[in-house]
Amino acid sequence: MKILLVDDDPFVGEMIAMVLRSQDYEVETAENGAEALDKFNARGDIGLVISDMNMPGMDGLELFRLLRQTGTKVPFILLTGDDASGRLADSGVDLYLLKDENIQETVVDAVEKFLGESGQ
Amino acid sequence: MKPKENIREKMKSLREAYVRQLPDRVRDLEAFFERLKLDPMAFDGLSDFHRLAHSIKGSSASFGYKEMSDGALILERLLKTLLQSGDRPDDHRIADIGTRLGFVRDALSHLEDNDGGEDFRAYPALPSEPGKKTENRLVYLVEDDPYVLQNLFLQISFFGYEVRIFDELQGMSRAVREKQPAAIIADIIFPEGDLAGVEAVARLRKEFTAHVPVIFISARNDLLARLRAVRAGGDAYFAKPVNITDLIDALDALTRDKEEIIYRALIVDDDPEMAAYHALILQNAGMVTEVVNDPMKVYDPLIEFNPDIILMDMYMPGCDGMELSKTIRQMPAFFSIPIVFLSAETNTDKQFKAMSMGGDDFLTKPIKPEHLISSVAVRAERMRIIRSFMQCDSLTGLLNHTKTKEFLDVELAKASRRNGKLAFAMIDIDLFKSVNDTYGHPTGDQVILSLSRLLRQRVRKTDIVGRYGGEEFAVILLDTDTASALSIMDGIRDSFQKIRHLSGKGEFSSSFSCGIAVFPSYKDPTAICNAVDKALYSAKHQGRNRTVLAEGE
Repeated sequence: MKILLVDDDPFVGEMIAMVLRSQDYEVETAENGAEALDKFNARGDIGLVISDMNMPGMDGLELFRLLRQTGTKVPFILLTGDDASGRLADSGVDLYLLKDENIQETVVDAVEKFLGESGQ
Repeated sequence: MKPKENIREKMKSLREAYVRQLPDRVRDLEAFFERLKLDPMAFDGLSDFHRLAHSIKGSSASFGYKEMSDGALILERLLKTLLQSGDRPDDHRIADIGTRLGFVRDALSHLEDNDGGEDFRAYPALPSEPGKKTENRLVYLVEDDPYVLQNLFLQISFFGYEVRIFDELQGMSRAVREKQPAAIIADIIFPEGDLAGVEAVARLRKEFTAHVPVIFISARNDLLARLRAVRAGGDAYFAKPVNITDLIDALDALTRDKEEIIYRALIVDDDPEMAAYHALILQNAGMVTEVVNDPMKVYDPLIEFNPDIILMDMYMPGCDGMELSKTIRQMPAFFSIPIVFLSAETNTDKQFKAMSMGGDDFLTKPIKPEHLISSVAVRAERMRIIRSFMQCDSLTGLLNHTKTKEFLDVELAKASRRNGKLAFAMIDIDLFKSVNDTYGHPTGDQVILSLSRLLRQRVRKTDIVGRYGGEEFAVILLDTDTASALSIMDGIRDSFQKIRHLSGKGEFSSSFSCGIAVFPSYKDPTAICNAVDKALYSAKHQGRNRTVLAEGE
């Protein structure tokens, strides 16, 4: 099962993709919500979506809602720059991760929870 | 199997790339602030200002730059409050923003001291990749569309260029005055005007005598824009959307070090004094020479030195020049090598006979140095051209199948003589047929070209890259062990899958599978080819887009 990673910041996106690939997960990347929706629909094998919250155009939460409207129950992790757990508590998103210096560890831990260790 | 050692190196370069562009982002913050100060009532960029601060906060935190992320955070909080209130900021608020922006500026200046967290904690260091270049590969990219800017930045970076990005012309011009890049890529349309990019470049051109190549990119495809670009000294012009393969092609051609061609002459003469004298003359003319005094021992130097031309004494003990040249020409690799005879022979009949036996020219001793030089240089040059036709694939300019195999044989023999190392990698583009079927053959050729370019740029000049078949490539990495080979090839694989190819039917990306086998684990050409084939097959079988080592590594 592949991971779809959505982040408009190429550096952060690339870093997280790199960390996950080093753990043998297959990662597909998208730079905005629209591209993410296209990729998700085009590929049948996305098992987890990780998206940044703060993106121009469609934000992470809007992407989540649009995905849910298509009927998919794919797990969805939202990356936020600040602690938004209070504000977004009842949004239905599966998990929030804070974009901080621990992101390399927290994202791997989180993905393991949803997909099990090391990809397949 | 993926190389985990590799990630530390990649993480480090990603962090470095991030830090390199951070000053630009901070300058953008400053630019927003300047506009806000200038006219608070008309300022319409608050939401973008806020988003930028927010984005710097998130990214710098992710890379472990605490001071920067804290500074951006307090700025972001204030901007958010303003944004939510919908009020126009008063003088007090504006001063407050300025103070907080100062924290960000300070954090930026401390960035050097604080090199963030560990690049990647779990993995040990790997010796640096041998593909590193020392030549100037700094490129300035100026473009006001942030999406195009970021996209081009990443794409060009994959090809080994160090890219500094600017979203406005003044910043770029300032940077050129500080440090001249190897090339500038500039958009044409900016808020200042429809030809602002061209005008800025024209001004820079007047300031500098050294020619910095400039490539223009533009949504404008009209003759006027193209004409003005040429007059401003533009070296290339690309209409948007930019085909990245063409752009890199132009960039390569414009920035490549004009390599001085150095000819290699093999001198066969039983008289050591004479041989040394001729060698010296040619060396003074910038050629590289190798001397053989015993004609019976010419074969090893021939293969190892791989000359462009052979200078041969006509009369030698044991084997004369005519016989020797005949046997040399019986070797397929040297069938067409120029051979120039040197002799005290003045009898023209004998000279003609020598030519018919395979000599290209007949020089009479004693020869004037300038005659020797010109006679050798002109033939060596022709040989280089003929060789490139015979040895190179016409689409990519890489070595062809036959020549690649030949190099593999030679390099394996060298490695075993010297107890050395060598890695052989075989690459096959994934699902290439469907690229051709979907996007057409010209687009397929583009993909092949971009891979060949990537390969050539990411390995050392001394390594050997060949097009082995339609979508198959071979790479011979000299003096390279398993771990480094894996790291290099998988790095290239990772870059290749990120390159966006453009076609009439939309953008797409491609990938390749790679097998690697290493000497001395596999000793002879047949064994290493079989092993690498199996490894490549297993890379395909495991799902493609991966690098697999031959069994037993």
